Amino acid sequence: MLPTLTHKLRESAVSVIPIMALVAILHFTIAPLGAGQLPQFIIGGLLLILGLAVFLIGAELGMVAFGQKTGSALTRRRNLPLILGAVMAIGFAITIAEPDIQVLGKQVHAVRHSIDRQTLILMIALGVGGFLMLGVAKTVFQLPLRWLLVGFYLPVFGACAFVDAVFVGVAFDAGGATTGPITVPFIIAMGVGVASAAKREKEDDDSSFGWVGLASIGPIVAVAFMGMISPATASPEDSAAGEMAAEGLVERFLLHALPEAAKDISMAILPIFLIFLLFQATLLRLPAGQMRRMTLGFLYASIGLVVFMTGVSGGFIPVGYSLGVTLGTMGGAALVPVGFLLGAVVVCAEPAVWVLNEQVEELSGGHIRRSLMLAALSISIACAVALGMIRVVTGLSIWYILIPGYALALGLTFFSPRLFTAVAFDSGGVASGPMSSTFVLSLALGASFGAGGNPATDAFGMIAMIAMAPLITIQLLGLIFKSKAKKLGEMSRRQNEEPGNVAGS
Amino acid sequence: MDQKQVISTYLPGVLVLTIVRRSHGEKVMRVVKGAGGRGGTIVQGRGTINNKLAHLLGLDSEAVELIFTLVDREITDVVFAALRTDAEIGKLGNGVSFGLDVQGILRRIHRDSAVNGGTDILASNAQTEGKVMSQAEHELIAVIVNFGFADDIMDAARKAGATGGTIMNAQGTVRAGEEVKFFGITIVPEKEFIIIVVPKDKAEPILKAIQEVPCLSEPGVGIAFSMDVLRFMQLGQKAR
Repeated sequence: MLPTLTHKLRESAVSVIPIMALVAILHFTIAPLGAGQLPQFIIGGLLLILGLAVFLIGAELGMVAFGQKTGSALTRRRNLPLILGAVMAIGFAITIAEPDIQVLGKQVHAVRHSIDRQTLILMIALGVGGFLMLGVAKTVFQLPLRWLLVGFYLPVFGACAFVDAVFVGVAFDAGGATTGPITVPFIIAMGVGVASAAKREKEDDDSSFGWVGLASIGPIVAVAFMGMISPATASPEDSAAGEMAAEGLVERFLLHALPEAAKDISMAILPIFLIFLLFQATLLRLPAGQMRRMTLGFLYASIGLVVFMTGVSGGFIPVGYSLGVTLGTMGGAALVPVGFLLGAVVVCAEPAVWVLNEQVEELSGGHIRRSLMLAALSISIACAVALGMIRVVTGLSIWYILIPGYALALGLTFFSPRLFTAVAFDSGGVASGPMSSTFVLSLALGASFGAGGNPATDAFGMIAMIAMAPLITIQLLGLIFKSKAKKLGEMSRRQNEEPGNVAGS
Repeated sequence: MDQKQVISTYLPGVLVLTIVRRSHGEKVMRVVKGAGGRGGTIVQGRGTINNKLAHLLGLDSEAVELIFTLVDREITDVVFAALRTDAEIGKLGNGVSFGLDVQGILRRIHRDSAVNGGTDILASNAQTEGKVMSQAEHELIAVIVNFGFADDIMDAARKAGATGGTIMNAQGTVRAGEEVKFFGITIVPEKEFIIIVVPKDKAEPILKAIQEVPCLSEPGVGIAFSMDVLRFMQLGQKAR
C-alpha cells in the first residue's frame, strides 16, 4: 500500500538484523546476557528498525531537500558575506542542537572538571560553523580539499602534542561525534546544493562533498584548544560509566528512554525547523506543495529519530555495556574478534551512513554504488573496532594509532581521485554516529571495566578510530576505481571501434 | 578482414526506455544485452506513485533508474519480449518499458562487412522503414522546467488523467557570453526533466493542463513537447 515505507523498512531491517543476530549468537555461546536482557535487546532492535526507516524517509523529504535548496538559493544570490554568515549561523545552531554533543560535553567534564560544559559546547559550535565557512570557500573558490586537510590537520597534530593523552582521545572523538544524524544530512545536502548551482567543469568533480570532513576538524581544534588553556587539575578517576547499572524491566523504554529521546530530538530539530521557516519566508519561497512535503519530512525525521534513540538507549546501551563486561573478563582473545565482527555490522545500522551513501550514489550517477560504499565502510569500521579493543586490552597509547593512520590518510589524498578523497573524509564523520557513540562505546567501556583497565583513557578514542578508518579505506577504494576506470575507458573505446556500436555510456 | 575500412552512416532503430526501481538498472541492462542489445545508459531519477494515501503523506515518490538503450528494429520485438517475461524484473513491480522511433542512429560499419552483411542491414532497414509507426496507442510527454516545479506539473498532469511520471534532475545551459560568474564558479540554472507516458486520447487534455500551471506562465521557465510511443508495457504483466 505504501511501497516507499515497506521498501525502507525492508532496507533498515537488513541493516539492523545482523547486529541482533551477532548478539544472539554470543548470548547462546560464549557471553550469555543477564536475565531479561535478550528480550530487552530484541525490543530495542525492533525500535531501531522502525525508527531508522521512518527517519530515512523524513531526512530525504525534509533535511536533505531543505539543505540542497538552501545551498543553491544562497549561491544564486552571489553574495559572499550572506552565504558565509548564513552558513556560520546554521553550523552553530545545528551543532548546539545535536544530541551527541551534549553527551560529549558530559564526557569531557568527567575527564577534566575545570572545563565548563557550556563554554566547551560553544567553542565546538563555533568550530563547526567556522569550518563550514571553509567548506563554502572550498566550493566557491574551488580550493583543493587535500591542501585544506593537510593544512589544518598538521597544526592540529602539532597542537595535540602539548595536550595530555586523555584529551587527545576526547578531542578526536569530538570530531567524529559532533557530526550526527541531524547535522550530517543537512551539511551534506548544503554542500551538494551550493555545488549544484555551479557548472561542472572538471571530470573528477569533488565540489559536492568534503563539507562534513571539514566540519569534523572544528571540534578537534576546539577541544584541543580548551585542553591547552585549562589548568591541569586532572582527576580522571571518575569515568562517565558508573551510572550504567542494570536496571528495571521493559518499561524502562517508556519511562526513561522515550521521554529523554523525545526531549533531545525536539531540541535538535526545532532550531533547524525555525531556520527553515525563516529561509522560506526570505530566501526560498517554495510553492505550497513542496512546503507541505518538507514539513512532513521534518516531522517524520523527528519521529523516526525518537523511536531510534529510544531503542538505542533503552535496549542497546545497557546490553552493550554488560556484554562488554562479560567479554572483557575473557580477555583479548574474545574481545578483538568480537569487536571486528561488531564493527562490520554496526555501521550498517548508522542512520547518517545511509544518507551519505544515497547522495554519493546519486551524484556519481550510480557510478559508486551504495552497496560498495557500505562494504568499504563495513571493513574499515571492523578494523577500527578491533584496534580499539586491542587498546582496551593493552592500554596502548592512542598516538600510536592516530599518527600513522592520519599520516596515511593525508598521504593518500595525493593519489586517490578527488571525489573519493572528499567522500572519504565525509564518511569519517558520518560513520561515527549514534550507534558507535552509544552501543560500541558502552561496550568498550564495559570491556575496559571488565578487563580491569582505565576506561577514561583506554575506551575513549574508540570513536576517533571509527572516524579515522574510512579515510583510509574509501581512498584505497578510489585507487582501485582509478585503475579499473582506466581499463574500462580503454575497453569502451575499443568497443566503439567495433562495427555498429551505438551510444555508449 | 585484412583491410578494415570504417564508414559512418545513420541507420533507423528504436530507443527502448525502461524504468525500474533504483539499483536494478544493471539487471535490465543484462536482459537487454541477452536479447541482442549492445549497450545502454543508466540515469537516476525519481518516479511518482499513484496512490492517494501515499500522496497525502508525502510518500509518493520513489527512487528509480531509467535505462536508455538503442536497438535495431529487427530485434525490437525480442528485446521487449525479454523484458516482459524476465521473472526477476517482473518481481520488482511498478516497472515500465516503452519504445520511441529513432530515424537515425550513428553507426560505424566496417567496409568489408558492409559489402556483404552490411548492405543487407541497410537494405532491410530501408524495407522496414515507414511501416513501423502508425498505430501508436500512447504518447510521451516531456517537460523541462526550472528546478522545483516538477511536483506542481505532476499534480496538474495527474488531475488531467495521468497516472504517474518520472523526474530527473538536470542542468540548463547559458548562452555564450551571458555566463554568470561567482568567483571561481559559473552559475547555471538547475532544471527538472519530467517524462509522462499517457494513452493517446488523454495527451491533449494533459498537455493543456500543464500549460495552465501558474508557475509556467512566465516566459523562459520551461518547455514541453510530446511524441508517439511505439509500444508501452508494464513489466511483470502478461501482454498488454
